[in-house]
Amino acid sequence: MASCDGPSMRGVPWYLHPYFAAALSGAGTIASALVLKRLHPEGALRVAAALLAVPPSAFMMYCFVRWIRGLDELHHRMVFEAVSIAFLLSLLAVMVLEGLQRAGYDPGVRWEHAWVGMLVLYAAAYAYARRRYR
Amino acid sequence: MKNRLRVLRAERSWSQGDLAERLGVSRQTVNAIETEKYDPSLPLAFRIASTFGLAIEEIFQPDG
Repeated sequence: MASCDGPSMRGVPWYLHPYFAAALSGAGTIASALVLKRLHPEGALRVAAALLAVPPSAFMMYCFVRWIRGLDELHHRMVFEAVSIAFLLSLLAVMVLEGLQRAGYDPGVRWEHAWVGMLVLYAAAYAYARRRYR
Repeated sequence: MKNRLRVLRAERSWSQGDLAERLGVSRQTVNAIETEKYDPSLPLAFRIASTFGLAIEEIFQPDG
């Protein structure tokens, strides 16, 4: 249940805190990039290093879902609106990029831009939804 | 949907935080209901009515 001050983390153990999980995921991403850049592993080790951030990121998703389940009904609505808006905006972004590609312009978008973009869109949409019900 | 939440809360000298604590929701949720930006679900409306010892229709009225 949320506290009286908003979607609080009260009662959530620190190791299940979504921000801690997000930091863990970020650390995994950085560690993966560093290992690939500095140690140059080969074969299966290279694949393992490249996917180093996946387990902490899956844990982060579990923590976020757990956090969302603990929110009250208004905050459920805000999260739902934020996800819907972010999904539609990302669809629009993909359409724009596809259109540019078909027109012969290479937007130079890589996979790492995609998930960062999705996170940014979600954060912006959540801020908008929160503002709407303020 | 119109409601008398702010008046009823003021009569009891409860802050939004006090009411939120009693209802088990966030202060922002109480504020959004009071300012009629958000209509509560039926279970929450029943909890609100029970907290004030009133019937739902004594707190919430349809628009128009």
